[in-house]
Amino acid sequence: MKKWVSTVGSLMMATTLGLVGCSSGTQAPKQEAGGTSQVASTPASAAPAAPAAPASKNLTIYTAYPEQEAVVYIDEFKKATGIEAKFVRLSAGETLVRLQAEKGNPQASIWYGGPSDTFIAAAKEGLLEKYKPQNADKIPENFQDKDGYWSPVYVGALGFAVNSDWLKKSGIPAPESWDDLLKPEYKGNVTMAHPGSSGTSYTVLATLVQIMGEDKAFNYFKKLNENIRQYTKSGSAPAKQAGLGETGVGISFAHDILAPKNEGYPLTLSFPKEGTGYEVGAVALIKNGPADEVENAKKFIDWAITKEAQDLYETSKSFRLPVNPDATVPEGATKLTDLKVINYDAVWAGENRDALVKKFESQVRGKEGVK
Amino acid sequence: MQRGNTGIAFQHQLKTQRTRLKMLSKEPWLLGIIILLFISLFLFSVYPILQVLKLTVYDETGFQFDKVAEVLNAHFFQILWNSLQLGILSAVFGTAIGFVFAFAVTRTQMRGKKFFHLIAMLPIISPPFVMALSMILLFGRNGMISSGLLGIEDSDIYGLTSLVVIQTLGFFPMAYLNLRGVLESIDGALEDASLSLGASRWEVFRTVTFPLALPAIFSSLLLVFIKSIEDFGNPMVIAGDYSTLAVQAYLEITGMYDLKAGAFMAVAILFPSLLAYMIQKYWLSKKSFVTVTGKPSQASKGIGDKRIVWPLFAFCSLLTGSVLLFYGTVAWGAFVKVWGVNYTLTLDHFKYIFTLGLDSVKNSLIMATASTPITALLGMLIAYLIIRKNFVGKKLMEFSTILTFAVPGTVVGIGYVLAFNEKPLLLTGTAAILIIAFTFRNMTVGIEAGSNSLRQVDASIEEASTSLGANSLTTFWRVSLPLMKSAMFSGLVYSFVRSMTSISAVIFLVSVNWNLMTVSILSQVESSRLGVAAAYCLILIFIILIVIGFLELIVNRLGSSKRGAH
Amino acid sequence: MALAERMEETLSTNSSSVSMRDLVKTYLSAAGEENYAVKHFSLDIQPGKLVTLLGPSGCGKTTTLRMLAGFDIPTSGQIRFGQSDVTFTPPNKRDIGMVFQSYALFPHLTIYENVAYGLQIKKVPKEELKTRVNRVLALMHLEEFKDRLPSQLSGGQQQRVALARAVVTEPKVLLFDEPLSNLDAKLREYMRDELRKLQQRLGITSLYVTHDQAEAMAISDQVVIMTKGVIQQVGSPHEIYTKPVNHFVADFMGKANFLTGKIEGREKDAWIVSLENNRILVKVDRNIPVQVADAVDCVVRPEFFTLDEEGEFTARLTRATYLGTYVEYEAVLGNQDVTFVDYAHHQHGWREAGTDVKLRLNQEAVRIIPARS
Repeated sequence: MKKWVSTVGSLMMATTLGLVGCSSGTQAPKQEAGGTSQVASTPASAAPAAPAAPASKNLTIYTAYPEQEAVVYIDEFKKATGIEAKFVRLSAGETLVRLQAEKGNPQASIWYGGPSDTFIAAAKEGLLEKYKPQNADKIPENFQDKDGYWSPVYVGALGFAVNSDWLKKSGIPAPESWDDLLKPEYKGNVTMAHPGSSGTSYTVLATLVQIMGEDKAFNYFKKLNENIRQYTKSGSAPAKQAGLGETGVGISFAHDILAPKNEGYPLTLSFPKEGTGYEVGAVALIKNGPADEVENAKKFIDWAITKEAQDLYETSKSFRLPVNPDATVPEGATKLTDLKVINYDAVWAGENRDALVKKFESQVRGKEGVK
Repeated sequence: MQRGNTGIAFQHQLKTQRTRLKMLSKEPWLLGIIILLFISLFLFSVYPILQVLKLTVYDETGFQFDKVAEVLNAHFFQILWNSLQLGILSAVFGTAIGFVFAFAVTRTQMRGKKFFHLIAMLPIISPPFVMALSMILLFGRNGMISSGLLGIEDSDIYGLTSLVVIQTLGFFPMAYLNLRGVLESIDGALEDASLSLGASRWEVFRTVTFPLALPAIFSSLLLVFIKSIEDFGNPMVIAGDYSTLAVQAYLEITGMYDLKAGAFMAVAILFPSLLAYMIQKYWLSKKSFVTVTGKPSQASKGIGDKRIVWPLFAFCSLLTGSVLLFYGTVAWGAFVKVWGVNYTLTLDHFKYIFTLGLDSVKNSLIMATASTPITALLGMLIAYLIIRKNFVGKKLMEFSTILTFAVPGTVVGIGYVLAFNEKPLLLTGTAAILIIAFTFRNMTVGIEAGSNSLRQVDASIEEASTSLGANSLTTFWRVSLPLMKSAMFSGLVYSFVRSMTSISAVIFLVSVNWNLMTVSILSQVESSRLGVAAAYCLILIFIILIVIGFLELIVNRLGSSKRGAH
Repeated sequence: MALAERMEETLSTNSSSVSMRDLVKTYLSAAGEENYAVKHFSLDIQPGKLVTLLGPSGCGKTTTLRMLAGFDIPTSGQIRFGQSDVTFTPPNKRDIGMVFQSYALFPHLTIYENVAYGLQIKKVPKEELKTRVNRVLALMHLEEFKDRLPSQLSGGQQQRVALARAVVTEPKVLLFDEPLSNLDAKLREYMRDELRKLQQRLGITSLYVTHDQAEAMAISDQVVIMTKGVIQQVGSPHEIYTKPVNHFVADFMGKANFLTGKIEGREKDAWIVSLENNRILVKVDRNIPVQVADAVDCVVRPEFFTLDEEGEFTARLTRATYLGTYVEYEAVLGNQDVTFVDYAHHQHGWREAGTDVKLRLNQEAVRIIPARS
């Protein structure tokens, strides 16, 4: 009994004050590395050739790719470079928050995957470090960040996820245009995310404003509202719901539609013939990340835009469209060149986001969703 | 109150507190532990939340309340109301079901009590999103029951009703765990006494059993209410257009990239929770609920009356059916090719986990195993201090324990990163930060269960120990803790399960070396690989059931180790 | 052999005197006012004596006991065990034994473990512990129950376990908080005698709290009568009974008639008191602040009257109750109600209500106290 008491006593000590003590103990090597980074990172960004800190074989990545996809890319990178890359998987929005919270002492050096608007927001907050990867010129300019904070790695176009069983049962063709969605046969069967809560859905809104002009676009959404089954919270939910038969048509990005389709869900993917918007997936260097990883991180970005890296979208069955023109387009995905994409103005979209969302809420559907 | 009285009252308080402090200083160990608790509660419960709060109202230019003003519009109050509505409904249903289960298991001679006990704990094992997905697969438009069995063409399950169903099902175990210990320790003699006085079973229940269980009922209502409005996973999938504060806060942060607004909304969830908490505490402080006296009597055998047992049995069976239906759906989903579409049997999902995901399973297990005993013991210790000891700042201590429990996990996660990302409190990237977060976030259930148990124990039992020369800590360990056995078990189970299944806090705290199972599950769900997610859940359930069995074994030995030693 | 005699051989004592000086305990009322639970309480207990705090519930007796135990800390004042000041000593360091009203047995421990608990805490060597516990269990006739849990014992047995647990550690001071109130009448009487014998043989300084005056009289060396936090009178049971200093004490300790009279004058060391057309002589007591011409109340116990044809008082009976050992009569004397008893009813016979009787008053025994204002 005595022993028990003392064991418990020491255990409790360990949890309270003790933990603080020992954890900083285990962190000691990292801290030292972190300590030098403040001094070393400045010359490193000024003269990229000079090694910033004793180079290590480590690389820490925050990725928004789903786990099973990230494994494919990062394993391949490890094979190609011998660098011990490890990753933590978070959604793009979560990554942004985590970077904001970790600002003083970021725990990772690379942010890999996720739509460019989160990267733009991060750059604005001063969370990213500019880096221009080798062979960046190969990538089409309209996907690139003019300020050079992030580099594009994939493109995903907006499309319609249509449940094939539902099509068969109700005997109607898959929608092929934005206007098709207004037809009465789709009533109560169109699902999209709310632009106030999802980046995907905001892309839909911005795309249509860019195609039709603001007034017409809002008229369109007001009409579409009659056919909407549900405004979901997340951008990929419409595709998933279409897959499960919870709705007829879901508006999502193509890779969010093709993923469940590939899992075996009865989905047909179609694109609107008036033209469609897209998101650009990106990779970026995190500012003030672990100093010993800076060189490896740069190597990673260089690698991420190569044909070899982007060919993997086929292996991973993610159906993302490579931005490297030499890379192979995954089977089943439509080539970007075959697709009628509009010249989506991401900068304009970002600047007008608040105003457009507010207008959507007041004229089409508020977030509170009182039925 | 007159002004003069206030002065007297103040002086009196001052003097009392001084005496208490003086007495406390005579027990250096106790004092040390209390101080240590204060420091750690401040560090790990209060400080992180303050950091988040600061983020919303403070920047380089000083205090800024623009964001707060911007958030506090009609829309905000609408979703606040939504959250409250949801919280109240789930709390009432969850507690009612938890009570019936606990009553049936502890106070009747119903058959299959062990089985029902297990079933009543199963739903705390609800990994993110999975229960809600089960709901869609069962009752959705293509649902096996709605469309398959009942032939309903166009069922729309999104909204408040489904949410309440899922939350009730998911949270009633919390009420069950909380109530079980209390109902168990109600002295059977009390009931028998009223029965012998000619009261009917119903009268006994109404005048003895129920009033004695009231504190636990209230604390269950509180716990479920808090968890319900803080819940993010279920409303995210199944709420449809019905916005709740927790979800809206999350979306504000991750969808609109407005950390300030989101963080403020998330912290705002604290207010209804704390209000409910304070009402409960105020009410409790006015009553006595002692039923465990030092002159114990024979345990009563429990109700055998068929007219009572059978309806209870039917009710429990019905609920068990629903629970099993949901979990069965998950289990099935783990073994079929495409959940909801292609029902060919396969082991592929498990193969994936065993080749790629085993590390995160192992990590989760390590973290949960490390934090569980600490959480439960701390919970019991704090309950003991709060109920039995008098010291300056006791209310503050009590209050701070509920903070991390009551805010959405997102706030805890962000708060921890903000608080512990730099020297000298650098914890990010370590296992410690996860263990600490689990400990301080999951402690509340243990504290509540412990307090409820202890409230029933006559304080003179502990005084007897003290008068025999034992100091407070020895008394806690040798007398109070064994008498809180059942609460201890609840604390252990809850803490283990929540550590294994929590997601929203963890997502900001996992690191390359310490990735957790739930993060993998979430990723699988997001990429529509529901089969793998289901398989993960099945493994999770399997692990947890083994651990619960193990815990039951250990806890039952607690305090009886000396038997037969002489 | 009686329990206590054998106990004596088993246990040695290290009992000490107890002194409480000017103890005050206040609490805050709901209205924010400071109220007294115990007010300026001073008392000395000689080593080995048993002192009882007697009073109605809420009189502060339990608070006093708890202050002595260390569970409550006085707002001001001092408590000493022997020479050492224990006012702020935590209960576990005071070396006390306590018997609780609810027994407070550890429900999860066996009888053996319950009794052994205090010795384990004191780190008594294993062999010695075993011997001592077994001896005490044997003394208390609890041997056969030692492996049972408290819930498997009867109330009287539980009471004995509580007592065994309190004395096995040989404490300096033994505290009893209404220990017998949960027993039935017969068992209570038996236990109270055993308890008294035990305490006397062991010579453990004891403080005993009760609201039962018969219990207090039977077991105490000294009785302290309290009400509203204030000591009314301290003395041996006999002193308290025969020389009450005020209405409260007289009324609380036994039955008393308060007959109003007037001091007419003084004759040597006695007051001349006129009482219902008679003059009686009452010994002067310096503790009672009265003077000539004061209205006073005479404390007349029911047994102070005897039926006697030559008696100086005439009273009309209003009610007669036959109680076996004696008959209790209620009567009107002048215009005052009195109660008296007749132990010799088999000589005097039964008197019907409505008849007049002659009563003789044992004037020697009468005390006077200032009349109620």
